[in-house]
Amino acid sequence: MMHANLSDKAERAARGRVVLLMIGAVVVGTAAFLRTTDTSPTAEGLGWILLMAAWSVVLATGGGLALNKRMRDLLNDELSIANRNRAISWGFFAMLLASAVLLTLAGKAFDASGAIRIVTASGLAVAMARYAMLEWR
Amino acid sequence: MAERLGNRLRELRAERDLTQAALAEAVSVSRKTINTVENGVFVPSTTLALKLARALDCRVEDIFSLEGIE
Repeated sequence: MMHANLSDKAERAARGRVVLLMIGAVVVGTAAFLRTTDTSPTAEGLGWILLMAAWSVVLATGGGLALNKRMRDLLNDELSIANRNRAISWGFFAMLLASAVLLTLAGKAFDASGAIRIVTASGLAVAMARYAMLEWR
Repeated sequence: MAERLGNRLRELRAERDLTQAALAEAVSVSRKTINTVENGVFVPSTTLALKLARALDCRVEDIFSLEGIE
């Protein structure tokens, strides 16, 4: 019974992670197009780097860092790792696509830092959304 | 002729009166992983295939086989 409880908890945690990943995809995707108005470029850039780093950690580790090892192992089992690898592959191609789109708009709509935001956010947001979709099945 | 991996995991598990959760517990994966293997959605690693065979007390070849597709 204790094992079943652990398995149930892991399944609930996996569902929670799906929700977290979808929220992350929306936050990162939205933040790429928003700029704070009263911060220096340095602070703004640092904020962006921290945001990307935080969500990258969630994507790279599968989250659940506060859980015990047994739960983390169940949460990040073979299927989940395979799903994550596929999702990161989608993110890579999303970055290439975003770069190609920005190249066609070069000099028109975005400066360098804006372009970097959109390219990196595209990759991360698509990877997180895809991971969530694969884990939802 | 293309080939795909077929499996009798669901059948063998049922013969032993094991639930997906119980088998998952025995091989330290999530229930969803067992479900996706049974449905042919996910092809397990050699390590997991060997663990499944050990948990079901049979050979890997009894669980998995190559099936031809015309």
